[in-house]
Amino acid sequence: MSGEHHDTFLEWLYLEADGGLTSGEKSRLESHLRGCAECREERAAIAALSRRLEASRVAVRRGFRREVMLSLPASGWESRSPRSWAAAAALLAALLGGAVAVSYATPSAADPTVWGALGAVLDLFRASLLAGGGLLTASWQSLGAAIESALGGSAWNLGAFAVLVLGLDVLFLRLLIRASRRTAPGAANGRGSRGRTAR
Amino acid sequence: MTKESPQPTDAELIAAVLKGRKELFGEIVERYQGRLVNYLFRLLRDLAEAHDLAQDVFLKVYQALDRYDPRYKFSTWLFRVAQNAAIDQIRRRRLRFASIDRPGTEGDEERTWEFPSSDPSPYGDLRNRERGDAIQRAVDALPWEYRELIVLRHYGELSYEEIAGLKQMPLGTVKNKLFRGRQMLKKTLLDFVGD
Repeated sequence: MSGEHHDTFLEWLYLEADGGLTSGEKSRLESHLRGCAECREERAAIAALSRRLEASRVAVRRGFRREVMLSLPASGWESRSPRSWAAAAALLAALLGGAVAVSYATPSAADPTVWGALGAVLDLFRASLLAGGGLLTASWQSLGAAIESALGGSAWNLGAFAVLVLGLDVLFLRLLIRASRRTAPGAANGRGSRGRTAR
Repeated sequence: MTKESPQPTDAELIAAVLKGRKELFGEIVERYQGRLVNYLFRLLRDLAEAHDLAQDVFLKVYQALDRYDPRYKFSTWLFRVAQNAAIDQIRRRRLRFASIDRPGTEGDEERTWEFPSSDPSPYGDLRNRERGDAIQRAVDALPWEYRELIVLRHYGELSYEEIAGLKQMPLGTVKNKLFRGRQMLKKTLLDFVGD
């Protein structure tokens, strides 16, 4: 028997222990084992090693599953789940339905049709958007005025403010990158944060 | 004879969890908790810490569950998250543990592992404790590249294919490294293996 052949069978013994041999390989190994005392000894040693490793496994502490389930946080995907979308869609449909019903029930409605009701709802949305936009613009204008008065028109103050804004941008960007790395399953990073919320 | 209904796959369970059946995540925890705790315990050498980290890993995976791609094995993803968490944890405490490659160096804590014994005598207990300690020392003494794979195979109970996916190694390399690693391990444990 050549040395190389024997080494191959030696390697197969380990694969056999993991159930990694095909039936053809298994029968070839068995016939080799019948004539090779060294391989038989090796097989027994591998089996003993596997038993030792298996015996050294530890038991999971009682109630571990419950601990995990109790500490599950409200996850971001839950709010994006179809169930949440369905609830939002149902609410919107109910609002539209209500608007249509109100529109039909009002005797003074100029156009008591479905299109008229939809138009009224759209007008309502448009008015809300306009009001929100106006408030936002006013807020930004007042913020701009406050910054302008703080800087006092000085070029140095303006430069310092620009550096501060740039620094905050870089910091924000780094935090974003770190957060995306931490949760990406592809990269499967999972580094850094400790997510335990309950014990 | 009653016909048993087949167990749902990991991907099926995850799909159900994502549809709102949060409680089914418990099935996934049940499926993997033993393997994960054992894997982390062998890397961290601290059972309480291994449990805490396993819990963290489950939480991280749960939070990112919507990004799981069912074309890949869930176990591969789970153990990759666990592996990275363990490496981070080892780094964090490297002031106490000198090096993951050189176990038993200054600052390393001596711990004893106990094993179920069929021998009720004090000698039997002592022998089991010595064996457990020897196994841990033998595993620790392996070079990291072999140790990692041995732990994944024997304590994480991952298949060759799963390990290849996790480590992004060719299947042949995984088989070869496991073969060599176990030969080294067997050599170290020779005193115990024969009896």
